[in-house]
Amino acid sequence: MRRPVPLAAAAALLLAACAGDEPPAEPDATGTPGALFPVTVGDVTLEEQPTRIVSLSPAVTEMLFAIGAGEQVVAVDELSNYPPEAPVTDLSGFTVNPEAVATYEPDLVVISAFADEVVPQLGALDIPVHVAADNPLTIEDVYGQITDLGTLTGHPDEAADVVERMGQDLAKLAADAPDREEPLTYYFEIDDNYWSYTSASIVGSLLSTVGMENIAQEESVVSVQLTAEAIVDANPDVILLADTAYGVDAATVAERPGWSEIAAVREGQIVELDSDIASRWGPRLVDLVAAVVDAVSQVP
Amino acid sequence: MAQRPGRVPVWWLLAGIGAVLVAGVAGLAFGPVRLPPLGVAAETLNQLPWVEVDSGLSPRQAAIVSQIRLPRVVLGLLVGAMLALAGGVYQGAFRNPLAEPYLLGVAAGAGLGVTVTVALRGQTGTSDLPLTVPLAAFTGAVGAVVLTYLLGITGGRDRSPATLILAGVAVSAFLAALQTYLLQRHIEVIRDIYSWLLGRLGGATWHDVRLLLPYAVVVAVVVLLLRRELDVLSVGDDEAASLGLHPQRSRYLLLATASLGTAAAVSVSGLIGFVGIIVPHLVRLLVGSSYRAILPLAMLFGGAFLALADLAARTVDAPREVPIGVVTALLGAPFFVVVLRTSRRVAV
Amino acid sequence: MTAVEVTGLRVALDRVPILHGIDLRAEPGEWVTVIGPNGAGKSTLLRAVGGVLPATGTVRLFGNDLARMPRRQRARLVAAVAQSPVMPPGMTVFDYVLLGRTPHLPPLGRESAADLAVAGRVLARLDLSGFAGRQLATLSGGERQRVFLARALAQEAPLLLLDEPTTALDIGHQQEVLELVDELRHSHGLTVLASMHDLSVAGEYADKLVLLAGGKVVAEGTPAQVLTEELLADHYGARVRVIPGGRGPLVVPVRVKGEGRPDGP
Repeated sequence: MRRPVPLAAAAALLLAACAGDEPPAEPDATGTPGALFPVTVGDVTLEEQPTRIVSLSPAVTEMLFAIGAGEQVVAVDELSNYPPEAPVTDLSGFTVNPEAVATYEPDLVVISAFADEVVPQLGALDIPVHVAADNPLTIEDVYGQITDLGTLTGHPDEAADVVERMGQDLAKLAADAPDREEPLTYYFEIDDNYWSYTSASIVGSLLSTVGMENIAQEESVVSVQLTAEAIVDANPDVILLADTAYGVDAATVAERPGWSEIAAVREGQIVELDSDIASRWGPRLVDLVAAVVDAVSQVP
Repeated sequence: MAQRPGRVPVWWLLAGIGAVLVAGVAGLAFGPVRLPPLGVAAETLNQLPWVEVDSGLSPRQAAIVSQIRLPRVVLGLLVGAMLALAGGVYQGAFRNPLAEPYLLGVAAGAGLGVTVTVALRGQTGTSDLPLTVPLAAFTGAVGAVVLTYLLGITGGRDRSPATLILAGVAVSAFLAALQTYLLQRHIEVIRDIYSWLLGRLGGATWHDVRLLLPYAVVVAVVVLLLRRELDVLSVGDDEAASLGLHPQRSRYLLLATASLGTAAAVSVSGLIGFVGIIVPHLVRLLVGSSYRAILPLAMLFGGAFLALADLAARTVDAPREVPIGVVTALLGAPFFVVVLRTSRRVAV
Repeated sequence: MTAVEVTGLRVALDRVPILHGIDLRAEPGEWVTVIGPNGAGKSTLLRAVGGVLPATGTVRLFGNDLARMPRRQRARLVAAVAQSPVMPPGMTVFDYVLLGRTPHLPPLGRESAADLAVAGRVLARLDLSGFAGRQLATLSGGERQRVFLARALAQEAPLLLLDEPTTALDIGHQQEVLELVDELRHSHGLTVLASMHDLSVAGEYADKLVLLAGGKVVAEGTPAQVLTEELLADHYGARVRVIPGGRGPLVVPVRVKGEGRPDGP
């Protein structure tokens, strides 16, 4: 979620004649990380660059490493499996145990959910907590999260680079997408109870830039549970599977009764996505879009 | 009200059959996708092995009717019948109108089985486990009931029905706690399990129907044959014994059979609530307290009720799917209040 | 062959001994009433004879050992009316009486026309035909007692156990029910084993009285032999006068003036 930097508050917190914090996405002129601090993002103020960061969200972990803050990360939650060098622990991002987190003596903790409980709990231990919520609505929100992390960790430049690169890659994918008379329709499956991301989700909006149309058209709802009937009737050209980690693959989909009539099944256009990439809204969103574009490039 | 017991009041029987037919037809004719009714009818007839009719539907529409709607309607009828029948048996065996088929641990056991399976599946990333979700649910449900029984009979001489209920409560609480713990440890699969817990006919296949059918038939036959014993049990264990019955044996046999039917239903449809307690009640309000009349009618009206609830679940918010447990509660409660108020017979 | 032959019957409930070795006989067609103070074990005795309580000792019904009898056979030999029978909510009189046919039905069978006829006959005999479709809960005490009796009679068992059959009844209904039982006893050749706490009534309607106290038989014989002022004073701790009545002795409680509490509030 984008958090505008309260400049007035930041100015009020300046203790010394350090360079104040900057508005996000602007390159820093001075160059040394130390000179960037203290910073304030949202409710979090850091006096100095954090060197013992704990991430309790896989998407955040990816972001941190992407912006070059990997060396400052001392612990990540049990589900953060990318990049491989991330220091995985038993910590859970869902049932946050403040004492367990505290044993790592963090100077910054980043979470994605349950902020209402976790922030005060860790706050009581004097641990600053930054929230990068797990439900960003647009790609700009994701850029904002990356930028905020850049500011907090002392890597604003790298963060800006990552954001810029992402934007460029996505724009290129959109531009290179073949022109079609009819956009390719797709069904994006989250689980085998027919939960699907809609056109209003981040995935949905990204895929529409590359000329694809979600069969679940919604204004604001991000995910819905569809009926099998509706899916069959919508006859998507492509089926994207995000639940491969739970044993759902092209073969199981094809076996679903009635589904053999769907164009995607008949033509073999069932794309098995990496479950991690398809569920984390971070730097690898680009990989997700690229994977989809690649898979459907063969479709006439 | 029948003067003679054992005779289901004829016109209620016809009403029950009518309800099933209406629910079946409506379930086939309506849905999130608009289909021509004649085409649907023709396609349904096509399912009969000796009939070959051109329904005029496209292959996709035909698939919707035969592969998606038809098994879903049939499964709804079967599951509804099983749950209502089991509910009636539980109410009679415990002489308690608040009894329902999940009382002895079926729900908690099935839930635990499913949680274990789904969590394992998520961990290993494969669906190649020998334990499928239906099998895990069934095993869990049956295991829980056996555990309840063993716990219930260790009460020494006091083998009253109340002891069994308490055992059921204890087992359910214990297994539910295990399930919650597991869920917390594998929080990423919570949506899967939550869907299952709410109950769903959304993924119904002919395979599910084939899984359930033999159990449904056996359970229905056994219970209907034994239904007179429930009426005898209504005078209490002592008097039932003096009338020549073995009340404990009778009760256990009936409960075991009903639990088996419930476990089978739950394994293919998840935990659909409300049907098992409300339908037998409604039927009791309509035809009196004799289980010989209640049980067959509960099966018919239970099936019809669930099939209609499922129809609502998939059409009301189309193309989205409303969890069927929500529909059964929203439909069932007000309907029950209406019947309660208009029925002169409030005996329970 | 005696109808009921009880030898050395001992019963313990929750490990508390209630009956300490009871001997009792009843001939076919006889009416034996068990009397005794509260807690003497009257109900327990009847339930043990009915076979619904575990007991040591022997109980023989019409020559058959109760302990070895299969349930259905037992239910065809002895029918019991409990002290407070359960009234299943929502059940009609006819259905309730029909439950009495249970021991005669094949295991998975339903009632035959013959069974329905028996129930109808019993209802007619007890003047309940008009109540057949009524709910049990809507009947008066006297009517209900007759319905409970009807169910027992529908069992067509030669031995009838009546546990306090007149407790909730007014004096008129008491007589009615007991007259009925006596009539049926003679017309059907039933053996009746009853427990009662109203001593005069017990005396009027029994061939033999058995006085039970503290789980033991302390007196046995004709009403005149058992209902004596001495015995009753000993075991009931009551002061009574026994006066001869039409059929048997009448027991009248007396209060000696001047004894007990002083006059006044």
